Amino acid sequence: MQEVNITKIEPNSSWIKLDLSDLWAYRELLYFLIWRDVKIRYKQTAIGVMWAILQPIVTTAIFTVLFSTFARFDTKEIPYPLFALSGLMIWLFVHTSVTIASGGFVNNANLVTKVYFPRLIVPVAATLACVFDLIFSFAILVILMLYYGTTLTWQIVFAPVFVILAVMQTIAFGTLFSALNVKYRDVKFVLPFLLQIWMIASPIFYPTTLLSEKWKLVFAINPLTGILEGFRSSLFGTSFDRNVIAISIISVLVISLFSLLVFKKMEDDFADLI
Amino acid sequence: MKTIKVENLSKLYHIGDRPADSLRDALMSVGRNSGSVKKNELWALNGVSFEVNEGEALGIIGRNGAGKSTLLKILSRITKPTRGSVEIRGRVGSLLEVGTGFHNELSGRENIFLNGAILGMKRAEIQKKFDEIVAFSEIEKFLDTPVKRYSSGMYMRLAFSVAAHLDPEVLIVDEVLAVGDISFQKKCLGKMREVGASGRTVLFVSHNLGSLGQICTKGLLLDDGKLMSYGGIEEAISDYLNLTLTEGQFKLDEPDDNRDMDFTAVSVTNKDGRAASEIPHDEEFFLDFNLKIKRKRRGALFCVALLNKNKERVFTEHKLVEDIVPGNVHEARLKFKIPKNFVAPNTYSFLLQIFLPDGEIIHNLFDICPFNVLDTGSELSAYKDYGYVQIKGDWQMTG
Repeated sequence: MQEVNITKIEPNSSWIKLDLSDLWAYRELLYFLIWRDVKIRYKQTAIGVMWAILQPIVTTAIFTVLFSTFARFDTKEIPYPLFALSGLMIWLFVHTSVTIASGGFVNNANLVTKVYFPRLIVPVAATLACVFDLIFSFAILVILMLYYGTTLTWQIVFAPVFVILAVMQTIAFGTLFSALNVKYRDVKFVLPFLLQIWMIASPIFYPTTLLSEKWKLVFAINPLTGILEGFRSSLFGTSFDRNVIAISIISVLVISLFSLLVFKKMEDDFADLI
Repeated sequence: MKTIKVENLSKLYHIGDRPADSLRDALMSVGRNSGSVKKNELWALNGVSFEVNEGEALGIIGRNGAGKSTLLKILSRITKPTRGSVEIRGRVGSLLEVGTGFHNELSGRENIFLNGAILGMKRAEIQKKFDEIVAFSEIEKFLDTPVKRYSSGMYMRLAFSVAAHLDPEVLIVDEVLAVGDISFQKKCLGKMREVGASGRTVLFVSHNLGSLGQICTKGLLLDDGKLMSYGGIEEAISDYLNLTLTEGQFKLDEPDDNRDMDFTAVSVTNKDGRAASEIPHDEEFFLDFNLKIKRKRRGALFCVALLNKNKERVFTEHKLVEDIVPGNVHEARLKFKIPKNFVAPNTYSFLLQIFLPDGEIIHNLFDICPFNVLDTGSELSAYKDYGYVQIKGDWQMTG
């Protein structure tokens, strides 16, 4: 018996089906969209992929001058440039990905109105394409760690976990804003402010030791707090703040589920609205 | 075996202002009761049901806004129906546009893979057909050039080539044949026929009745979102032509009392004597008009000329009025016949005049009764420009 594929097309149901198997069936398209985004990101720029290296270096330099010379944040045993870069590399990834992913459907409108594919692929591909930049900033971090003679501890094995959590929450936010953007183009204007507030509210250039224990837990609702804390502890061997990390992980899961539900609720109308 | 089963399919659009275009509208509408939403509703499809058997090539016809594109979009899963359901057996490939997802910065080679993946091909499948695609597109030399440097012809050829090698069990195609130069169009048409003949199920939307007649076996006519007829392709095409018959005749200015002779009620009519704006290329048709005679003018002549799109004359015919209208008649109904297989598929209008040999023009109607001659399935249907007359060429080898 030959395998026969039966496609059923029916009106929107009020139930939201979280059918992610379709996403797996279209994994090759996901791959090609990531590949396309990586390939064209730095096309027709004079220094090409050097931007992926320059961006974190220059930002780290600015932060180091500002916050370790003038503001003098106490980052304990971690040298400030290392502290800043480890936070910034994650933040730059989040910032770029969410910005690009949120415009995903508007910029790929012809795909949405002319072809079927699981719509979730667009924000996911946009985010995963940015992971490519993350690899470059990680290389710079390694060089900087060698320069400062950082000694690694067994905790380093947890670093990938926090990177994955960062990617997950970025996909969640990118997905949410990409869907909202199809219906409300206001997202384009609101998002830069939200990202600015988010950056200030995250321990990117300041350590959480500035906060009281109680406030730390409130800040942990921002998933980036736990992710950055955990990532730095894994890299530099400082002790994990378990409560903060636990709250942030729950936060990532809740936000991911919420974004997915909103997206699934809205995606059927994309082609009609865009 | 049934490949496609469409049941009571309907799609409602809210036209004009979308429910909430911006966040502000959404926020403002929270406190407002939404009683006034109904006014801009449009049923793009309304209770359409039909079935397609395996291996059939179905042509979907209808005027602009009849619901053809909406039907294809639902069948391609791009948008969801408001009511009803569809069941399709087998892998569906849909081509609603040529070159969807092509990226200007990427090379031809890269775009073949990207576009193939977007159309739903597997990477291994694209790799297998890569050489065939390249050969079909005739762009070997520019394979590694970014497509933004391509001419529009090259771009379209490459795009169609990828699409043409899509190999699904059910193929849905919208108007993609109108690409490239004439020889490439013939090639595309040939490919489409090949697909139709290979036992796959094809759904095809086109305004080109000629290519529909060539490729399809069955026809489905939509009008105003409703299914008007479903059967053989010839039947559907002739139903479509009946649908596009113009209701009224060509509107003329008020009769002028100072004129000695007046044309009234002019229309182009088809072989059945009904006013029409679309004429099949292989049927005769008429210029039909009334003449009111208040005062006889000796030597007055009719002049009928067929005008092309540029308002240039294709032919001119003169006739003495007294030769056809006896002297005691004051109002006559007249008919001028244009034989079948004479005027080539194109857009035309008429010039109708009554004048005296000294040059005095009694009544002049310029560029009236615009109409189209449609190709309903000639071998020439792949060509876009036919010229204005059809001939049966007589060829001989003389040396």
